[in-house]
Amino acid sequence: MNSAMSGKTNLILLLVLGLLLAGLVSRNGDIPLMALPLVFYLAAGLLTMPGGVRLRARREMTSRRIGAGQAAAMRVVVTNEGPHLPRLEILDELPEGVEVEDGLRTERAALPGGRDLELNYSLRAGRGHYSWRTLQVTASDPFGLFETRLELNAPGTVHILPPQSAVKGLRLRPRQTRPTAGPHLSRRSGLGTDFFGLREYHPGDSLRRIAWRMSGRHPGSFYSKQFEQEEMADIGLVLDARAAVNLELGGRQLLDYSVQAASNLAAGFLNAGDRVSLLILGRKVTRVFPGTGRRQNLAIQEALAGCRPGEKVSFETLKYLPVKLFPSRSTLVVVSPLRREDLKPLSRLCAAGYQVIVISPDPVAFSTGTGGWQPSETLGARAAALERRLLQWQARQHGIRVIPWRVDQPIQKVLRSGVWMQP
Amino acid sequence: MKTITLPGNVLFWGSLAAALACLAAGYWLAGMGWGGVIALSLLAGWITGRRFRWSWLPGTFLTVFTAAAAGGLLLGVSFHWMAAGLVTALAAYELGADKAGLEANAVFRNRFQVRRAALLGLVVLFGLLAAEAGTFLNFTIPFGGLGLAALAVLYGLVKLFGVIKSN
Repeated sequence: MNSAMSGKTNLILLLVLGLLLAGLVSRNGDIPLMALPLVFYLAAGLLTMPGGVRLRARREMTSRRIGAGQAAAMRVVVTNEGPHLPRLEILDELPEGVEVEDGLRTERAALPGGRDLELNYSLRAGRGHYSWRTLQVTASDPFGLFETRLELNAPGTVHILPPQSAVKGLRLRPRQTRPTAGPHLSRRSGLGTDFFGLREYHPGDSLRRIAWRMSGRHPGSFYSKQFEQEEMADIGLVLDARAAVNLELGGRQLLDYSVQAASNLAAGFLNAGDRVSLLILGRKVTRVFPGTGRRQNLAIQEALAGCRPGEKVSFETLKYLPVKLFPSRSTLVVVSPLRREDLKPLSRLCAAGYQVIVISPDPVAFSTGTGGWQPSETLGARAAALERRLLQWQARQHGIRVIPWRVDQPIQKVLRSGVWMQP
Repeated sequence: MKTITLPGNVLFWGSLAAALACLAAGYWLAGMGWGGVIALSLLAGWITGRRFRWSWLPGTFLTVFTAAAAGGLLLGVSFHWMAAGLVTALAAYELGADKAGLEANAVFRNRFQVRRAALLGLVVLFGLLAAEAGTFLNFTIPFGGLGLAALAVLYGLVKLFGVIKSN
């Protein structure tokens, strides 16, 4: 709490002293009399100044997690637990990047004891995490001459999540599956719908599974149909948020497309029933350990919301992948524009048994709009496009499946084209 | 949000008009017509400042008005006009310093504006009465007393500047 004279008080005191000095210097008795109304003004402020300010604040939001482009409603309530306050001003400072869409984030009113004063406004922001800690409050006399300034504790956090549209119909053949029911054929017999083979009938087998044709050809014995077990796979998403591969043009960033692709992929895999984990190589290395379901989707969305380009990070970090994050022989989907020096760490992952798939946003297409293949493009753009194609070919030689992606096309179109089929 | 544009705006413009009218009338009655020029300049400055939302406008207005009023007294302008002008200028300063205007949809806000206006009215009235009553007092201060008073005022100014600097 900080009690002080406001700037208005300082001005009035200056004028009073100035008039007194002018009167003394000029020996004119009327000039100091002019200071009397100003003194009465100060005295009125001093007499009506509130004592014992006791306030409490709380912050309420409609939802802590908002989709990008949506407005979030904020409500701040200040309760007066002390005596009547003739003048109360509240100001809610906004974190950087947040804008008020509707309403006011400042209020001035009188507040009797035991009553509430509210701020209601809606805000809008880009992808990210935004936190509020305190509320600036100033209690004073009705003229604002003698102020008591406080910072009330009013914490709150909003996560603006990236836009998400779950990719449907993803056809992936993982090398290894988990012994839990899921969407992928496991090359083992068990519960499923795809015919796998025949075996001799065992007591307890369902009569509906008996292969009558085979049994008919072998009198005296029965055969049961086997179906291929459908199991879940471990999918590891790796998002490359290095500043070195990020391009920024006209307010758009290549990273934003990568984030949206990772978000859509995570939703698609989780909706299909897989277990998904996430690693972000950006300003800070963020890990989301494997999980399933809606809760895991929210955790991944929150991690992606806070993703920012990082300077001091490289793919060499992938050397130290904990098995808990990406289980052995799982499928790794890397969203990265790719650079030449990235081939070595990715090849190491292939050699370690991981199935590596790279979805590569095309920076040349992002910057030129055409991908560098038009005759009208500059020589530099065409050379860059050729270099990318060579890099992708080299990656395929190392066993890395690369899916080039022009970011002006929806990721769903690329992913539904069936390029995942090869195990 | 429901907006009320009266009576706060009426009070403010009324106070401002009264202050400038008192200043101009006092100077004119003393044979100095250029007092009206000062008043018109202050009015133009205020209108421009509100248009461009100059936050320093109210304080500057009050300072210039006080200087004009004190200067007028030195030049022989009637004390009654200058005192009346100064108290109404003080009211205009207080009402004009409220940047938010009068937007109201809650009881608290109306109550705050009404009580503030009422208290300001009392300050203006009693301030003017006290100033007028002072004109009936006649006493002589010896030179030593004047010197001590001047030193006290100077000391107050130094302390005030120290407070402003620390704030």
